[in-house]
Amino acid sequence: MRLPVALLLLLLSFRGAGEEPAALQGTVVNSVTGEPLDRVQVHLTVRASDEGLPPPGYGAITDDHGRFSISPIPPGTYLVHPERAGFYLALPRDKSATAPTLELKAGQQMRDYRLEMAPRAVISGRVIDENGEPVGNADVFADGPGRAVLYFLGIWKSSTDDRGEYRMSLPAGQYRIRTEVPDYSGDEIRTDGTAPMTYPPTWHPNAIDAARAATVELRPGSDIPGIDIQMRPLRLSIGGKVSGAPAGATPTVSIQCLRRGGSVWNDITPEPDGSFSLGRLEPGACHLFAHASSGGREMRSAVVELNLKDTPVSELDLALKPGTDISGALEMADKEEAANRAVRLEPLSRIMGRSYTGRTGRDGVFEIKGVAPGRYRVAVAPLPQGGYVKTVLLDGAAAALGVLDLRAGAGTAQLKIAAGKGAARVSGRVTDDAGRPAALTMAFLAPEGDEKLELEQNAQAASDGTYSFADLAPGKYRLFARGVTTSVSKEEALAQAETIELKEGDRITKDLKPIAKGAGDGRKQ
Amino acid sequence: MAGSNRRAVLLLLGMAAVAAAQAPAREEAKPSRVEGVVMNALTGEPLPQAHVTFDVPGNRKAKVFGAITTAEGKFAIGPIDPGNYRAKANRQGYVASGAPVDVKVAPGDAVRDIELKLAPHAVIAGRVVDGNGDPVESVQVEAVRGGARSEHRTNARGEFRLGGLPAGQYLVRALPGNGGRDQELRTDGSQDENYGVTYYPGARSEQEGAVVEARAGAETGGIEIRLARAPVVRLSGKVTNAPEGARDYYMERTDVRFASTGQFNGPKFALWRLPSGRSALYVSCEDLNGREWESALMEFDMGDANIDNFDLPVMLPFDVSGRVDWDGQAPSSGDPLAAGLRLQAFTNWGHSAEGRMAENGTFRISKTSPGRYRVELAGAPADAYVKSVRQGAVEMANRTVDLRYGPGEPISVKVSTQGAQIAGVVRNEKGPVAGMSVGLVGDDPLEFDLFRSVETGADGGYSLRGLAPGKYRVFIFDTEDYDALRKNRTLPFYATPGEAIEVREAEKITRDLRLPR
Repeated sequence: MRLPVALLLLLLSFRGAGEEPAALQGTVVNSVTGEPLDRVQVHLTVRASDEGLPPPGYGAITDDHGRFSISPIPPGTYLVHPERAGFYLALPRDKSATAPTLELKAGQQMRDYRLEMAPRAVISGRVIDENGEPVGNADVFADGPGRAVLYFLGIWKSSTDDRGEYRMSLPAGQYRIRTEVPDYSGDEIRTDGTAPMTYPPTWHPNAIDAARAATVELRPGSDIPGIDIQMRPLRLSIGGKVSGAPAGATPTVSIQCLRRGGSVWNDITPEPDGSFSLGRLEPGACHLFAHASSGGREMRSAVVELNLKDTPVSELDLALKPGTDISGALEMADKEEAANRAVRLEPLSRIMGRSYTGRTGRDGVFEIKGVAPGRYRVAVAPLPQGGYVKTVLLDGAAAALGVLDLRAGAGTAQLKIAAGKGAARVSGRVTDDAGRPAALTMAFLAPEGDEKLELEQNAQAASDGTYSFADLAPGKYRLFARGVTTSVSKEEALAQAETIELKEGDRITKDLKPIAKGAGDGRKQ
Repeated sequence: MAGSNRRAVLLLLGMAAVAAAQAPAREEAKPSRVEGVVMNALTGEPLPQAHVTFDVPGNRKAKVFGAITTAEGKFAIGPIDPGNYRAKANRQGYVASGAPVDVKVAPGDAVRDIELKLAPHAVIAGRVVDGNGDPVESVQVEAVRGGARSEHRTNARGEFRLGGLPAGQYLVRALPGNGGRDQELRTDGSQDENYGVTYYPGARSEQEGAVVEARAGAETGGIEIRLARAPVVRLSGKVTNAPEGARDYYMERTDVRFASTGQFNGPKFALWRLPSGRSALYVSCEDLNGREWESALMEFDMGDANIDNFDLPVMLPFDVSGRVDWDGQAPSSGDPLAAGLRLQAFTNWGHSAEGRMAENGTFRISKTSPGRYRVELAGAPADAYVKSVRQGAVEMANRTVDLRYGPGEPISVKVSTQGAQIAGVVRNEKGPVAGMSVGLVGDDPLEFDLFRSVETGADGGYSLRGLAPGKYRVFIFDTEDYDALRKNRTLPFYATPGEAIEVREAEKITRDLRLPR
């Protein structure tokens, strides 16, 4: 696919007009041999964000001595992008940047600008199926540290030919090689004893789980054949029964499964006996629930969350429930203040769950009817400055972490909510090892004991690295920061998070460094 | 994709709508069943391990049934729901052969001896080199008939293999990336190397490309594509008529193959290194009240020179009004509304709106997007045709309306029941061929505003009715190329249009067509 960038219309600024032009002379060398590289196309583009049309970029080609020259060139800040078949720009290892920047001042004569390019490594191999037959038309991806760099080089993906063979060039580094067979077909019914199969994404040599993938180490210029990937078909399905459907109601089972970075939603109608099945799924997380409407009232089952590995899941029971009728009371320091507040029950399962809202009367009393089975957190809005939800009592018992467990999904419940004053706040900066603001980083905060991060809050670090969480209930929390593009999972990061304790009215400053290495990465080093 | 390819149907719905299909009665019959065999079309041997599917075309909600052929190439599905199925077989390294196989399964039926044919695929192999003869990695290469049939990216040696092809004639093209760069200046006398879409062996257009013959079960090798240098040119212009405080400028560019989208600061834009050939550009923006202003999809033909001042007026959706009248004698139920007349209009690229017809033949369509629309009839008597379309007093060419710059004058449509007909049979050396697509365009110059197509029936017959008097050409094309044809507005290289056919009002002409070779 051609880069859509041409249309992204990066709007670039141009400061050079009217200023004394600069001049640039430089050399491109082979980083391995130190020898000059000829026939390198050196591109300089302007990057900025002002309005207006982008000014032209500048380019040059290196001669037999690896030298290039651009003169005159308007002063400004340029992105430098050298191109030569079989080579890539060798950047310092820690960089997530795709190209170095070069600042040219008015009148500056830069003579010794040096760029190093390393020869690409080449890997090749075959993708075969369970019978050793070639798999044609499979995409082959190199999962490595610098995905952005690969994309920039336009080689993030290769594909097998009709003989199942592929051959791709890559910058040096450690990679896990993955293949995916494009498959857009849905489920189908078989009556001949066979079953619809899927070939899930598979890593070299034959892993359907990234954690079991082999790592391929590439040095500049190395040529490594035999990186074969064997795919095995999987028969993965989800099935079970819907129970509790009232006579005459037609239930629907909604199933949403993550699939290759996206998700696929299916609505299926169970057989008359309530049984349902959906096949041709891939490993990964799925959420499902049943719903039906009867007599103007919606019935739902709890949302089931499961993680498909390599075996089908059957005998799920999706019990339709009319929901819980809640009568509640909100207590605030000043009794008058409890009136006319919105009490919202927010589902912990953000996928497929729905939220419910009740409004308090003059005495703080509220009602919420027909709450679907599930677990919910309680929010009250608006709260006065510094207000927070202090305690949640469900039928007289304190709800752990303030979470309501309504999975039984029927009958009535009493809810008592007490709001406190003096919410805490934590803020700080996320910086890298050199103390610079870490770009594209999120800060995460979760109450201690929330091991699955169901109650997590997150905040994107601003361009100066600052983040903040406000309106927090006092208590112990786990706090960490994580790069948006990191391969470290949130769970891995949580294991390395620090614990902070917040008291009423606290305003705490806590600077963070992004958690860079997961447990898995650590072992490999 | 959905956003870029907005389906473009502007519907004026008569109240006397087509009766809804009746739900089939539920019968307690013994289960239905289908059985058959998958054959290798080249050797006549049965083919094991083929995947067979039975699905209901056009109904994505219908159940799909499947089977895997046995060592003897046999398959059986039972029970299967009664219905009208299309049966298909597939297996890696093979492609479908022959006309599609439709199977009607009645309650309690056992349909036997269904024969599905697969032919070993053809392969085209070669490599891509740049202007210096160096191999180029990661370039998309496609085997093309009208649209792309097989694609592969070149590997680290610049090599590609296009498999999965039915035997036939193809053009092979490479689509190099453009590096995402705009204009680039040089002070050292070197050249900004820019490569455009290149057809084997090194041509910049489909017309100059060499045809490559691919044979079933064989490899056609040595297809070396030398990327053709293309001048670095731009398309530039601005958004006009934009509301005060316009923001969230957005554009979509569509060519025969790609759609790309992007946001820009507006109102000016400049796009560099666009592929040459026909494209269309659409822009939109939001006003301070959050309303969307949009332009028509404006077509342009990118050549070797800059296109500047390509201005795109944006506007709010508008109402279009007009009336429909019968020309001469009306059918029994004289009122266009009572006759169930449906006016359908579309552009080659997109956009749509819907409206209703009032009792006296007047219509009003609200929230219409700007665009150039073609007005057509559907749900009308088979021989009815749009005789003329006028906007105000202006007679519009080819029964189109031009709403690119706003609603303009009211539209009046004249409908006649005296349409002409061109019919015939499509044959190859063995006899009539079912399931072939027959297209029709206006003649000289080929007028794709009039493009229509039909498929041949089981007897190989086709019939194009409700034609306005005039000169046409009919041709056979691959059904898969429908979209490419509509956007390209040229006949695919393999189509052999016969001589022009001129029809007069109510005339019926027979013209049999012969498949080449």
